[in-house]
Amino acid sequence: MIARLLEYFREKSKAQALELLFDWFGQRVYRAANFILNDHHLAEEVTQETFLAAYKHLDQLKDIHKAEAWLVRIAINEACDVLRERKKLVPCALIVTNPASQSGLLARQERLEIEEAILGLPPEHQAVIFLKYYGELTTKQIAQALDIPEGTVKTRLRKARDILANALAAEDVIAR
Amino acid sequence: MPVSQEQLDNMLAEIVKSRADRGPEPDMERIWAGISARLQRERRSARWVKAVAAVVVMLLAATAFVPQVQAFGLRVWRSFKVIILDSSTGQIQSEYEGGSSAPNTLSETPQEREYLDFEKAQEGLPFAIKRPGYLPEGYRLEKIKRVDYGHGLFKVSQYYCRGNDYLLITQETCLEENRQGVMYDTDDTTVREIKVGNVPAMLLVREKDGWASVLWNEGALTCRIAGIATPEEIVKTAESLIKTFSNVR
Repeated sequence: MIARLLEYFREKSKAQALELLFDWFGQRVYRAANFILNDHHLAEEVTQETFLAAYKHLDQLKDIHKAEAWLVRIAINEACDVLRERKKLVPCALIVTNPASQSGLLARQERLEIEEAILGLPPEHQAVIFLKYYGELTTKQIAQALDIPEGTVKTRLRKARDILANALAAEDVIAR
Repeated sequence: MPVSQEQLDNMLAEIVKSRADRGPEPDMERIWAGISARLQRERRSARWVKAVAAVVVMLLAATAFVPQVQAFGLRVWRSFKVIILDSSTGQIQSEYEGGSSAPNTLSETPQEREYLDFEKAQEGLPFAIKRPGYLPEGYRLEKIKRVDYGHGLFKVSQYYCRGNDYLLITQETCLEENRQGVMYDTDDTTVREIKVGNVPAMLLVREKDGWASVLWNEGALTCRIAGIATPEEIVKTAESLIKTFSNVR
């Protein structure tokens, strides 16, 4: 897979390289956008914008092994821009009717609050959180993919954990 | 009860995955089709830029020898500046946008004359030059340019200026077998079909530099107003012209 992509890059066939990147990482990019936006129409738009931006800046992708993280980072930045522009709120109805959330570990309202708190973090935190918990990358892999120190990755993940821990602690207090 | 880091990670993974996977499956084919279409558009646009640049170079090279080519070369260069270098002024834009070529079935050299009053410009024309009853604030008549293509075909352009802004009103006769096209910046121009009075017209608006244009047909005449003004002002100017169009001979 990487060999083919390298070949396209060497041949300067940007369009073919982009198509290949889309085949491999299109779904992942869409999921990253949907994670931020919680709206599949907007997520589709952001996926398109992400790949168009990637096409324009393909020469900035120096290491092909980092392609996925690079695309996810673009998608999350684009999605955060859209969110800022539209000031779109998370539709509660979707969360309430989502079967996955009903069978989850957390109560719906609490889950919604945690999601909102996590989404309140800056885009660079979102990228780390998505790559860790959706992409299941290790902290070292995330650090390499995003070109940031491993300590920064850990700090950002700790922030997400703190949000969750605080929410659970608050629930605990209320339960008592 | 304290929660371990592993438990927190599991919960976070569940939250992130459920949120990212929420909603219907994405239609990846449709998404790619959208990307592909936009890429093609951008590539076409890039090719066009190259073609224009090539034409400009060729025409400028030819300008040293043929005065007429020089004039045309200058116009293309101005168009190039408007579209590519984004340094539009009303005059450049008007000259470009109003610069439809002579009917290609004619071999005569067009005769161009400039006038300062309407009566002289009107002499011998098969249609009445229409003076606008309304103009956007500050615009004053600078000149009237009349082009005689021969075979009873004419183009009359009224140039109005307001500082560096220009507004152009054009009336042009055209042969039945000829079609006239309008070139515009497809990325930044919005095009709408409207009615000016009861006449079907086309409104082109480029917000980024405050430019607008309206076109319509009146019998054998093609009329156009273009320049630096709001769409409302351009339409109002057009309406003030149309009111007097019943006089067309």
